[in-house]
Parts: sequence; structure tokens; C-alpha cells
Amino acid sequence: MKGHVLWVYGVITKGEEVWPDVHDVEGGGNFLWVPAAGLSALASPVEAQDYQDKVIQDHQDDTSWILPRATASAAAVASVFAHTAIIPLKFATIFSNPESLQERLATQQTVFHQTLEDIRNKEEWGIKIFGHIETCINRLAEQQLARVAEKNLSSGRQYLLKKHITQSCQPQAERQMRQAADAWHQVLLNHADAFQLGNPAQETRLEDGSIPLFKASYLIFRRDREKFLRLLMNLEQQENPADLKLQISGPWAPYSFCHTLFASGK
Amino acid sequence: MTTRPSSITQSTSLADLLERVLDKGVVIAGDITVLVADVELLTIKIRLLVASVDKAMEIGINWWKSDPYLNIQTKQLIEKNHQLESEVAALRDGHLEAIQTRLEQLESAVNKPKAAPKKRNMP
Repeated sequence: MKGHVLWVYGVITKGEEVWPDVHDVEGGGNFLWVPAAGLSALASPVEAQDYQDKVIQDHQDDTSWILPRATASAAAVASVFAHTAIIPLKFATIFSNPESLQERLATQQTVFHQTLEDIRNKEEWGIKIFGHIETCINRLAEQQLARVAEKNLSSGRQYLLKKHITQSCQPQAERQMRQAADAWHQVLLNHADAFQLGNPAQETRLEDGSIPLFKASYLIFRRDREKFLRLLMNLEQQENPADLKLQISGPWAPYSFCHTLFASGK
Repeated sequence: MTTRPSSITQSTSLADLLERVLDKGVVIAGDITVLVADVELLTIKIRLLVASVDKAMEIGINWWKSDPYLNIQTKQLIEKNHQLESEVAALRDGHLEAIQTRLEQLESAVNKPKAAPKKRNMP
């Protein structure tokens, strides 16, 4: 197969086009805007022969092929997102030519326009909450030991009691950490336009052994960014009964809040 | 309340980026992988992209290792681990109980008033 096909990054409202100041997925700067139905799609040409079935299958576990394209794709979307609302398309969305892309945009214009309105002036933040179980157990154990300290127990009894309390505190510590993480989520909900829960089990432990408790993405108004970040800092510093730790990432284009528009053939 | 140094970290890591770029975003057609000459659009099945464990580990994606729903071996290990933890806890409780009983016995023995020595009848 010869010639070029189009790698499509995302869709914006027509008239809001800006040229990304980054490289395209092939390392060049050959971006183009394809307009249709009041929309405009950011694309760049890629070699058609590189996107045949067999070639794609060969790339499926090839990080040297995936990584540069994933980072370039994210950079292009971020570059446009810095100026206007953009619907990021799924990685490696390929159209055979501008006309077919325009046809698709025209067919789906209502849902694209609606989605663009829904995400306008909003940004996504990723939040992960971690907890250090040993720290929490020790704190709970110390609290319980302090209560019985006045009873003048013998050192042997104190030792046994401490051991018993430490063991029995584990479920309580886990419960307390998860409740605290959920309480934070409830607070964040009041300041977010939408949220998407993730699976904390997908995360690895922190270097200090803290376990992942909670993971979510929040869609917030761009104007509320500072308020949202201050809120996070306040939670971590002052509303933290279980010594939780926060990891935040963002601002992202609303990847998690642009839903599948339609399936093939529907 | 005192203010502690914040441990909030901004972690826009490669894993965060890949999670969004590879796994999110709008799908404007089904997950079809066919010759681009024949169809309008090609979307790679992203899960397959990161399906090679070794390659994915290199870029920090290893969550399926600990996700019991995706890894049968992990699920079995977790169940076995829970079982062993229960057994160890039971043994430990029994051991502690035995020590505690022994301690109580010793304490009561120590606190018990000593009986007066019996007077021996002198011949």
C-alpha cells in the first residue's frame, strides 16, 4: 500500500484552531486541521504502509513504536488544550483521507458539539490516595495503650497487651484509612463537575510501602484550579486522621470524560 | 492545628500519561483492526498494545500483576495468603493465650501467702 493516511488527535470547534508547537507522531510538524460541520479535527499524515494489519500486529508489543507516538499524541492534544476545548480521540485513530474524516464529523456533529459544550473551560485532574498501614496501626495501638497505662500493669502484661492490640488494630487501621479516603472523595465531589472512579488495585505501592486506597479523575472548571489544589492541600495537611498521602496529576485534557460516541456500524 | 510539610506529590508519570492516551479518549468507531484501504478508520485494540508483560513492565505498567481479576495465579496466591494469615493468627492467639495463662499462674503463685513451715515433732 502506498500513500498516506491520517492520524487524528482530537476534535475542536471550528474557528478555534491553533497550531500545536510540538512534533507530530512521526516526529515531524505536518499537522493539518480538517474542518467539517462547524468542527475541526487535528490530524497529521502517516505512511499508509505502516498501518496495515500485519504491521500493526507487529507493533502491538513494541514499546519503541508505542511510546514516542503516545507521548507525541498527548503533547499535541495538550498543546491545543492549552487554548481551547478538545475532544481527545482514542490512540491511533486513523482515517484513510480527509474526506472520510469530514464525512464522519458531519455524521456525528451533534454529539461532538454537545460534548465540546460539556467540557468547555474544564480540565481533568487525576487523584490517587495512599495509606501507610504500619503508621496507622502504631497510632491506633498507642492510643489504646495510653488508655490502659494507668492500670499499672506488670511489664509482662504490658508486652502481651501491646502485642495483642497491635494485631487487632490491623483491620481497624485499614477500615479507618479507607473511610478517610472516601471522606476526601466526598469533599472533592462538591468541587468537581464530574468524576470517574478508577481501580486503585492497578496502582503499585509507594516506595515507603504505602498502599493504594483510592483512585479517581475529577473534571473541574479551569477557573477553579487553584481552589481545587488548595482544597487538596488542606485535606492532606489538616483533615488527615489516617496519615494519607496524595498523588495528583494534571491538568489533563478531559480524556476520562469524553465517552464513546458510537460503535462501528451503529 | 499545626501545619506539616505537604506530602502531596505531582506525579504526571509516564504511566499516568499512557493510561489516558492509550486507554481513554473518544472511540469514533468500534475496535476494528483491518486494512485501512478497506475501511474508513482503524483503531488499535489498546489492551493488546500493552499485553506483553516484559515490555509493559519496562514502562512501568504492571498493575495486572496485582489485579486478582486479571491474574488467576495472583488470585490463588492471595487466597492462599489469606488462609495462611488466618492460620498464623489462630496459632498466635493460642500461643498468647497460653503465655497469658502461664503468667497468671505465676503471678498468683508469687502473690499467694507462703504457708508457715510445719513444725516437726522432736522426738
